[in-house]
Amino acid sequence: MAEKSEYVPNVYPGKDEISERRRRLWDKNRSLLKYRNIAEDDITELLSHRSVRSAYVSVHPPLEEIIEPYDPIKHIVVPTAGARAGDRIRFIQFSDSFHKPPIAPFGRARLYLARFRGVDTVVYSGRELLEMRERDLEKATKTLLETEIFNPALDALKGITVHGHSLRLDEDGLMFDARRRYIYDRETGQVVYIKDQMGNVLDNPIPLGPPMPEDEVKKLCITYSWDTQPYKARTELFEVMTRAAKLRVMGGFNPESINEKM
Amino acid sequence: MTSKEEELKKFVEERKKKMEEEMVKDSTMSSREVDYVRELYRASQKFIDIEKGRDIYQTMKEIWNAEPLYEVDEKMYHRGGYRQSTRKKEFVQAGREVAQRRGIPSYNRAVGLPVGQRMLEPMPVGKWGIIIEQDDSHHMNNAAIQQLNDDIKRTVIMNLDLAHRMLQVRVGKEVTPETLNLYMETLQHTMGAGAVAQEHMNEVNPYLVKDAWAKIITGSDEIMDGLEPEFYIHIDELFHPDRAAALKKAIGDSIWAVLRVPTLAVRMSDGEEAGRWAAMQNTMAFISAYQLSGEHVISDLAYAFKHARVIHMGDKMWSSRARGRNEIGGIPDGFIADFMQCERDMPMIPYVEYIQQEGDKGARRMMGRLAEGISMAAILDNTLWLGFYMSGGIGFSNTVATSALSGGANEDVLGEFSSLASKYLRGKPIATNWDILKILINMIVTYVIETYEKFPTLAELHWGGAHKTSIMGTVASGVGGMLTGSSTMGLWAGNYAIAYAMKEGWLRTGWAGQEIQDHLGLPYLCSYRPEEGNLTELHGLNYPFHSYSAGHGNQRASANYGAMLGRGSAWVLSPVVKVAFADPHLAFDFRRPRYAIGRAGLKEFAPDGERTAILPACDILDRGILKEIDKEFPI
Repeated sequence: MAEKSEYVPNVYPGKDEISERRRRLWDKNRSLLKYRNIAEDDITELLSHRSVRSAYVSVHPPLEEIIEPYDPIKHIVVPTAGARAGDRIRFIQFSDSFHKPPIAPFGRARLYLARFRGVDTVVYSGRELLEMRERDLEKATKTLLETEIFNPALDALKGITVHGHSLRLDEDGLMFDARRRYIYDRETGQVVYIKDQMGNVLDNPIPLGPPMPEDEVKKLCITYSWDTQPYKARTELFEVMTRAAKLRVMGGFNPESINEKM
Repeated sequence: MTSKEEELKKFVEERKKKMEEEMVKDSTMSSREVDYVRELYRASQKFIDIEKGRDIYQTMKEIWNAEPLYEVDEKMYHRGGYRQSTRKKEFVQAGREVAQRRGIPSYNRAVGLPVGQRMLEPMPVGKWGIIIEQDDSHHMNNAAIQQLNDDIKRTVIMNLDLAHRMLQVRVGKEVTPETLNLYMETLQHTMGAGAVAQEHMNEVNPYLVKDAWAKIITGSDEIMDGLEPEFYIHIDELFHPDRAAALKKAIGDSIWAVLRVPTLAVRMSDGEEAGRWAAMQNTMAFISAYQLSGEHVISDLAYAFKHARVIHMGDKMWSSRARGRNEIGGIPDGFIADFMQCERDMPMIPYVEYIQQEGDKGARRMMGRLAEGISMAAILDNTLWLGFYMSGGIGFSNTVATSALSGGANEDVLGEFSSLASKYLRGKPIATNWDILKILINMIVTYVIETYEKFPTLAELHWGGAHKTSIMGTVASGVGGMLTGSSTMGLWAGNYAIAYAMKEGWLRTGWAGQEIQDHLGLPYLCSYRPEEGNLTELHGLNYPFHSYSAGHGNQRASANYGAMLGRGSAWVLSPVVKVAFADPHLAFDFRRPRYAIGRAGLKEFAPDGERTAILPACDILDRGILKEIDKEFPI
């Protein structure tokens, strides 16, 4: 009997830096670079779903206490900590600038689905909604805010009133925010959140670190750009995309018509 | 050699050739990719001067009064809020007056989020030199957009051949130029709800229905010669001679009547009313002109005009969208492209041949007509159908439509492409083959993508993903259609541009997975089973997996209209519909839609359907607001 070869997912096509970065972000086996530390209490404040250090509100008893009818799937899928405790489903919403962002909406969706469990996510043009059980969400938020995919100047927590991703940046190089949740503190050089993601004023401002320097921005940018990594030169990616389009047209309703030559 | 050996040798040769091709492909790919994995930022600065020579640079400079290539807006948050806009200031004043007069709060900038933290930029409309404010393009503020909707909804086209045959064979009446003229004169009276068969009827004030009329469409010069000039649409005068000849040939000796139901009637009810009004009044005109009586003929006439020989502009929709006929959601895409009249005076030559003859300027002229025409589709789809009918009237979809009206992005990109096409295509159309077309589509799509990256001001003008999706799909499908003459290839290109090229380049498309109908659109393209697909021209908003989100109507129209220009045809789906919307009596300008919309933004457009003739002469604030005097009267 032939030996089974191990499946290696081909995460993304292309040999360029952007493709490599996409492969790294969307591969759960590769770690994200950590850029900053944010206290757990600050994350709770920013999310604005519960008071700091208050108990989690639950919508059902812990799973251990519930006697449920037999379901084989429940034996296969290990519940997340939030699901086990019966937490509410809460959300976080990020907006990513159009101008050289370290991550963009579809990048987020693919990253969320690859790295987190128990998620529901919606992709918009400028923002991305992530819904999880509350304590799972707080844990995920820590990853999302502390690592390379968060540039305080170009990514923002916007639970509400999200537009502005495609606008020019403000005088401090920050993405527009109609609720002015964050400001650039010229004394400390940090981006400081003065409001939580829903636009409620915080008792204590929360600094989320300085904007990334220009070199870093270009290095970490996940989208192609005419002046750094031009899109039009991505031969392999275009090969894959145009072929996929062709297969969809020719074989969408007739998959049997697809062959190797196509 | 035996045939088996020959086959084997052939097979080995083919394999070798294929392997060589693969190797070349692989090495080319690697060298190209490696070549570009460099820091290009400094090199890119060299091309800035070229960017400054583009039309879009000048347009952006005029709009923003700032350097278009600069990524920072230093005045952001410091622009004075709503006060930077004349229109918003007027709204605040009007809202205050309305609130005081009626005693209920009205428009009030003290509630909600402060607007105008960013620049509330002016909006140049097309290339007409008209600058309006964004609010002026809201369908409720723009009389031309309302009239566009009304003029389509109130149009019904009926074929008279069956009726004439019935008159001759069954009733023994003669149909002559004299009777036809009498019928048409009667029809102008009955279309305005004038009575003909009874002497004690309620009638309508002619001032209210001055926009109700009917005209004949025929391809026969002989029939036209017999008619009074006001009773038919003059194809020869309105179209380029080649187009007129093609249209007349297609229509032939058939006689069609295009009936315009009064604007007020469709505003009071809906598009479905138009079919009923037109059928009733047309039947009455027949009864009067030909002195008819008796169920056997009148019921058959009514059946012909209501069902058998009638063209409604839109079909009925399924229950979740539930509208009657002649509403926007039911209009086939091919009809929308036939409403457009922008190419009327252009010679009927396939696009690539035309640019071979006319060069760069000709190429840009033809592309300009495409951009002008599809702006109308953007209004129909985004503003009216999605923004108004489906969403309830919010302003977001309007702004998506305005991306097709303003900013000059379509013209700029299509113009640049036209120059290249006129230089390199040499009059040869592109085969309807994706493997060939994809190279050009990739080129044009990356050009659009880079335009947004180079011009942060353009990215701010088209501030949502839906706006950019709209432009991306329109340009790709228009170019695809014009180069191949195939609407299927055009739509393929448009779907690909959004669902793949834009999505993977920026990792974003439009509002909430807006590329979903592009993903679905691809397999549906070449399937002709009705529930899976159909002829591209028969697609529409009333079609499975369409009408999800703003920005796609103009893409589909661009594919159809572009393909028509590409193959050098005179119409897209129906020659009769094409001629019907050339009628110069229509208030909306189907030949220059952006001009009409821009003028309406300046309050210079006079719509139909006004009720002035039956309204009291009083202050605007007194109308419709309950006054003290009314309250005092006992019931």
